Amino acid sequence: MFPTKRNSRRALGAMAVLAAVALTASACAGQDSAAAGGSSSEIHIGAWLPLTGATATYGVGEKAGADAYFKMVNAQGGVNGRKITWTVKDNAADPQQTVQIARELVGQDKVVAIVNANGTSQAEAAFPFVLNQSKVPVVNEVGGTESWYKPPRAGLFGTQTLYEDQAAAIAAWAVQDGAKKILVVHSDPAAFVNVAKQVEPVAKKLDPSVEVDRLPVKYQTTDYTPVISKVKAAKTQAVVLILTSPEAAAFLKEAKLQGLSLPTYAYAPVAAESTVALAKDAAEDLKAVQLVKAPSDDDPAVKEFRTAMATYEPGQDAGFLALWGWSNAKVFAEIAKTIKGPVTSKAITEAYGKASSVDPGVSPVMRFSASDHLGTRSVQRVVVKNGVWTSVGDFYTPPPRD
Amino acid sequence: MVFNRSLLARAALGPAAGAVLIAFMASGAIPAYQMYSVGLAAVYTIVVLSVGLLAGWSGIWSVGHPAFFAIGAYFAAYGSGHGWTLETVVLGAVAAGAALGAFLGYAGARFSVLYIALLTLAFTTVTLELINRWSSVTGGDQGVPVVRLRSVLGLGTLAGGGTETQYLAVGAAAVVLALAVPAASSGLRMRLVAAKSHPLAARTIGIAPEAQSALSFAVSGACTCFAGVLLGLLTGFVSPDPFSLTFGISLIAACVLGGVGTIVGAVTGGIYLTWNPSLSSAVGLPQPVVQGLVLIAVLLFLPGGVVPFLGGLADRVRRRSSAQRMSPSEELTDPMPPPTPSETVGDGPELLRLEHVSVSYGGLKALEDASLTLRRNEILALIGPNGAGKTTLLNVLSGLTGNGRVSGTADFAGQPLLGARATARRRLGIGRTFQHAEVFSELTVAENVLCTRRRITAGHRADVTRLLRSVGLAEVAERRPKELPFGLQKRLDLARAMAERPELLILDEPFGGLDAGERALLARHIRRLHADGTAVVIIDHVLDDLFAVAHRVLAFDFGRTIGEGTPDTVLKDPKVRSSYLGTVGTRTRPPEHVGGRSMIRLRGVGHTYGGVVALRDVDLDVRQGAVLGIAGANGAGKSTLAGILHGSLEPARGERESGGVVRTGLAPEGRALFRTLSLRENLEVAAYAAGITGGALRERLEETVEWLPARLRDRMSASAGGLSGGEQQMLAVARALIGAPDVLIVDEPALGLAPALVDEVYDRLTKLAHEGLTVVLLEQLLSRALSVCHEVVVLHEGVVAAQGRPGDPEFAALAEAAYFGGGLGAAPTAAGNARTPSVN
Repeated sequence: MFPTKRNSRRALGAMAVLAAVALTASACAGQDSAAAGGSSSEIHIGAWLPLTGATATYGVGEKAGADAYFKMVNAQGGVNGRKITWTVKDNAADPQQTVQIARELVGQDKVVAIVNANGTSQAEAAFPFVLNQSKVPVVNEVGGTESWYKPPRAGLFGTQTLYEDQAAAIAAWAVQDGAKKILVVHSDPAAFVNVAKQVEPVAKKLDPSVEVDRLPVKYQTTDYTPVISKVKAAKTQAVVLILTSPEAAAFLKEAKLQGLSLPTYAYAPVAAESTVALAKDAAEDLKAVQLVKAPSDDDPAVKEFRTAMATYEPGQDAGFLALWGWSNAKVFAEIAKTIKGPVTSKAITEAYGKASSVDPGVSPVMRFSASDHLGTRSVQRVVVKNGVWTSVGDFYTPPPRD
Repeated sequence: MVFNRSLLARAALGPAAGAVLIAFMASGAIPAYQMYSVGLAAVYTIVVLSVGLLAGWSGIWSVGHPAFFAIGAYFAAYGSGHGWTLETVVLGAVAAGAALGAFLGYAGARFSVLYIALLTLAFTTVTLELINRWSSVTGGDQGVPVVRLRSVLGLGTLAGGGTETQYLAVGAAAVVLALAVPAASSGLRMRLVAAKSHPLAARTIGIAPEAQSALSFAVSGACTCFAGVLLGLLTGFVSPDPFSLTFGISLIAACVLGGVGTIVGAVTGGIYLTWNPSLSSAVGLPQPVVQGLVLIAVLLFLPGGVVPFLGGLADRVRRRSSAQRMSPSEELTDPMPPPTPSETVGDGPELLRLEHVSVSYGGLKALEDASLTLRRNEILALIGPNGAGKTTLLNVLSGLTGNGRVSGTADFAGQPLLGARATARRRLGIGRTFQHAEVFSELTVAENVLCTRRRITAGHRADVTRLLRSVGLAEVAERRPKELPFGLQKRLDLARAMAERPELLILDEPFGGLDAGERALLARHIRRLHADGTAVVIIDHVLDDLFAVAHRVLAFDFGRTIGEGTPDTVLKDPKVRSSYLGTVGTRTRPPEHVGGRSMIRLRGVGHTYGGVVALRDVDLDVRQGAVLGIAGANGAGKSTLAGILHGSLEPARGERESGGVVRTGLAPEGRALFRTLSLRENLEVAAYAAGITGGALRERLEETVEWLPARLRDRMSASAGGLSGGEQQMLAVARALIGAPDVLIVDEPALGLAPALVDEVYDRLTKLAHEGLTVVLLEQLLSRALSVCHEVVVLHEGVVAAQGRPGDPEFAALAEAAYFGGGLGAAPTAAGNARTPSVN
């Protein structure tokens, strides 16, 4: 072995490794915060949201709505005199980061609950630590699947009507409108397929003579020309879209271009401002179901939302996504109000279990129980009128699925 | 591999750091909420190491690693759901990773860096698509939990998301690091780097690049799959989200940040990848912004990465504190006694027999019906003009004919040669060197020679040290080739070919580009090799040196053998003379009359490159209409002087004056043409640079093209890369001429050209002088400078050692003495010629 320049480089590298280890260890050691659950002056809760990356639109909108609500409540004196501190960290929709964030929120920030976070697989990656190990409840998450609530899991409570129930609501709407032949156009990943499959059984339950077909489309397709040709060839009477918002907009634009005019129904992800912005007048008369009322409604609860947004989050869109965040924040605050004594993780879990009727005004009444941790199955029907999503009637509960 | 104490100590460092970390974790010094991050950093370290070493050692930039990472994680998930043991899962994942990696590496070896990156991109895209589709196994986009994996080797049962996995991840990373350290000084790394930095040269020492990249990709893929298993266990849940292309790009960014190909750099990269989100939230900026800023900052300020930068700093500190090391010895240190020339030449047993060998590339016959024999104790020289087929013949011997069609038969030591792969010929006993010393730039001098071995023992290292000492490279054994002058690089090329004592050594222009001293040393090496029983086949343009060592000479032209003889007799063959030497002696003389006006004048000019003195106190006067020759050996400072005369190089000291507005044009050494541009475009680019456009450009272009030989005028739209060496030189001169210069500076126009072509180039330059152009000619061969110039300046080690007129009977001897030894006194000037007219 020759005496080398690299030898000294390696020796230095070696020292760097040890130093890094020691630094990491000592840096980590100093970060424990003294705060613990059940403070008398504040309720410290947290959330992971995608504030950067492909799904950042969701995280940013949701955060603005919830921030507006918590700021308003705090300005009015808080929940039973306790101010709500909502710590949000960006997980860039990445499960590994979510686990890291969950551990920081629970271990370092000592939050008593994860409230109004976002993402299904992201949350699932954090469940072993948050729910099982730390017994910290995860409530009002945007996302989730049926398996989260059947059977109910300790500390996991949801406010979002499942996509499967949204599909059932659409099916019922189309059948009520008189459609005998329905075509479900859906994206091809499993998450879309599972939802699309729910249309047929409910439609047939309401009218056994109804025919339902499915047309899968490659995820993130932008050219819908061949799809519209196939829809035309299918000679259907109504179309159900289980697509993302940009995909639905592409469908609508191409349909208008090819002169296809059919009653079209969609689930909540399509009922977004972005669909109208992208499809413009091709979106007119599009029907969809939503988790909340339309943000343009005259309803006093929705007006309160718009006012708070203008006051506390000026510059942010007071749209559907913000209203989701607002609604989830409001459900949490309403349930937290019922807690007598310290607001701990355990107290929050218990309070949710007993919250048999919480009315956020902007979304359906939430009914939780020990055996049912999902607050609602209802949706709001909305339709595009003059380029604006408008509510049709009151909240609607679809017929039960088998 | 040699395990010495320092290597063991360094290899133990990974486990030591791991043990310290585990102790910290177990003692509770690291809070529970950071334990996962520590485990994650360990897992990322393994992945960054896999990506970084693959890039650093094999030159493969992979964005396919998210796919390998995912495969490992899904193995853990599937195994957990089907009762597999931990060991089964790890073995399965590692085997899958190795198989897929080997396939990608083998398939990608024929591609360029960009294409192999695209191949890995496709791999990630396809794998991610499969993961999303194959939902019965992967759970699709909904993900799948990793509940627990039981170990049969006594590690207990590891719960998904449990604390034990965090320890396991740290331990595993420590072991992987410990394995990487000895690998970094092994023959494996050297062979990988060799295959990466020069695939062709690697083949001649028995390294097959495709096998190397398959091997390295297999190891890298296997390690990443293993890390994937750890990730699955660590998180307890696997979904497609983390394995995106974005993650692939972040991995590469982390590698670059730490330092590509360094082990400590991988640790740095892994830590960065883990805590980048925290860093982003701490500074309050979105993650991609922080990632981008950090990467830009590193690329701008620490282009080699953080760890190599810190290593460099430490080296500088160390160097400052210790005494300056000696510069590489250029002396003819030759500890061995001069070998006695073999007296029994020509009667040894036959080693090589070529019969009717032809090579054709498409319709072009590069070699036609060549036959030759070589005995074991013979040095055979092949001569012939450029394009005669000499190099093709060498390539036939070393198996580097590429996609050319080879016919005929060749026997080497009783075995058929033509069917053997290039990589197998080293084993047969054939070594070769290259015209341009194709050494492995990223390996040290010693490693360049060591990498010929698959496994390196202490004995091999001692052999290499001895070999390097014998060629005078012992003192620079730990330097990299690019730090060495060209002459030493050629010695290294020779040493690499000599390692393992080949029976046949093939030397491609070994004397080219060397100065007289180096050439003499090389000749001695060749004779010594012969004395040791090695047969040598050698081609070169420098006939004197060639004939001094050769026993027999074979002359080629147009792909055919045209003559054979001993060095004394071969040139007497009129066929050989006319084809090879061209029209010697009929050279056009320079014009008689020379103007007195000074065009460019240098006074006390000196220049240095990073402490190395290239020029010192040069006074020079370029007079109008003169052909001024500047002669000097390699490294005498000619090109530096050319740059200063041209005006493109600002001298560090002294003054450059010109008489009024003097336009200069430079045809640089090595031509420096734009090879992919056409002849016309090459000229146009130069014209634009000189500010000539529109009608003036057309006019100049017409005049310049007129100067070119007819065979070039007809091919103005062909690309410059397709021209022969002589034609390229003409084009380079034409390019210098297009700016209508008052002074034309031509740097080494004869380099690499056959004599006939040299004559043609010089004739054309002389014609320009007749037309009134001032010409400065930088020339290595003093005799040539003396034959074509009005005035010759001899440079020796950066100083003007002699200056005079070729016609002066005393000057020739004076110039020769100056050329070799710096002259009799300081800058002697031939009497009567020391005129220094003032600049007008």
